[in-house]
Amino acid sequence: MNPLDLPGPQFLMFYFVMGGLTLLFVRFRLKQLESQWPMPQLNFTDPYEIALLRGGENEALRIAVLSLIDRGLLEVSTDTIKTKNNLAIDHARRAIEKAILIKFASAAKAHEIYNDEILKGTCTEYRTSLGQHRLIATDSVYEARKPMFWFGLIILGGLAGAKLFIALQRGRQNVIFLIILAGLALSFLFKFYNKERTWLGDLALTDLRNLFKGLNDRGSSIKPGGETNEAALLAAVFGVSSLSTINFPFIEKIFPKASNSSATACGTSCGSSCGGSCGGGGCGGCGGD
Amino acid sequence: MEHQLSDLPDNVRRSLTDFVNAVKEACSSNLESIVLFGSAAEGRLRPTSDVNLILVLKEFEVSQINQLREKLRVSHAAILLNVMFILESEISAASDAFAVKFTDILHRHRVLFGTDPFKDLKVSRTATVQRLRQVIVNLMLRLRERYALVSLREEQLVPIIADFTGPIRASAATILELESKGEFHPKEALQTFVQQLPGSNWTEILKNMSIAREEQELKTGEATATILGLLDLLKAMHDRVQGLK
Repeated sequence: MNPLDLPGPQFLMFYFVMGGLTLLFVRFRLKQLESQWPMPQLNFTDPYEIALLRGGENEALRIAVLSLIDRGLLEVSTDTIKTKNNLAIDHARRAIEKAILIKFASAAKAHEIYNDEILKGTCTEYRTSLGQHRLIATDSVYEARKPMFWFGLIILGGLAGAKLFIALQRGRQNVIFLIILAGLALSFLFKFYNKERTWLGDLALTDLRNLFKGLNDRGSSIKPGGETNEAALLAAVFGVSSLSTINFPFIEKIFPKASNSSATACGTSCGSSCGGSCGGGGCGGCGGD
Repeated sequence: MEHQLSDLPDNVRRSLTDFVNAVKEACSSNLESIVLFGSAAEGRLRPTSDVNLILVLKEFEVSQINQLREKLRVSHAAILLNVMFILESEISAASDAFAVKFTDILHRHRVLFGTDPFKDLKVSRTATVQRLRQVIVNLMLRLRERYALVSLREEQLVPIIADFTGPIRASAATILELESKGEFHPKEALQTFVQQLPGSNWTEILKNMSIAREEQELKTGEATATILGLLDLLKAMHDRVQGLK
């Protein structure tokens, strides 16, 4: 039986099932293809690179702002941020940090980072590095995805197009549901093709989340101050909302959308001041010998 | 090296292997040994434990250490890695200065690279007794201060108990060793130590110490009782150490 001869509602049901199966198959094949690429020996020591892998340039910039505030190089007033002084710019080591500090030499709202092409440009090195490792999509990745994209397009677009042609030829005008369904299916197909982080990138991110699960577990006890880069790494791997808004209250002020109230805090005295006093284990101060 | 760390959680093993490889590459001929110590060396790592490493070097070459800084910060964030940078020539002096710690290291360490730097090390009895006295007095004074300042918010006592547990256990192990009662794992040493003390609630206190470390939570009333018990325990330890020669 020719499915194109099915009456409207039955054809829609057929298209829904067929479209779903096609999309699942395309997704499965793309995932299979990209997961087979060798996992590179990653050397993730830069939280901004991790943040870019997780959420793109805006996320890298957001984590950089957070880190600079934590270090005291950027200062928060009511709803704006401002670079502490010119010395702060010298303290910054990375290009992204220097660029942010230069931008906020005069006070401005934090969200201005999102529309700044110069700041985005400082993320190019991260994008290039991630692209070389095939963790984010580059031209060659899009090229590799094309056969499956065309396969899906021919089935989903071809089937819907043929049915539309037949329906219109037969004088039927009630094709709006088919157009909507086909539009939805094709948008999903395009999303698979256009996915910025590759499936290998997803695996790398899962790997990072496993590696830093201990950091996430003690996230609520991470204190501000910037002595270590724990806050930046935690936010880079798990998102800004993983930081305690009680310990880092400025997050709600400057990134209200990124933060949420689910992060907890430890109150006033998580842990103690013990430890580390003899270099790697606390020989003195706390009686740890 | 992976097989040497096979009893550690996957994330700890990976991060530690990564850092150790970076040390070997950065320090190369300047590196004598890499030693893991503490609970990780015993394969008894808890989720909240830190991972302690000793790098025995010939010299503290800043250019080499600079190459490790990024890795160290990431490993510290990922697995709470703490690194002691010690020169070969400083081991003896450090073991006298931090005798209780080094006694514990001697009992609980695993060489990950090079030769065992503590193979012939003997921590002097005089230094150990002296340091043990300092440690116990220090613990008593600090715990009293913590109790007075914090105990009105009882839930805040739990991390304090967790922090004091390690040093108290290590001190108990050292006391028993100085009394020639044998070498004990710190946790078992404290259990043995309290068996010789009057009073009947020691089991409860020791249990709460473990819960505070592992679960970071105690029932209402238990944290205060445990802190007060620890003060009694430290007093008893102090009295015992006074009798040591």
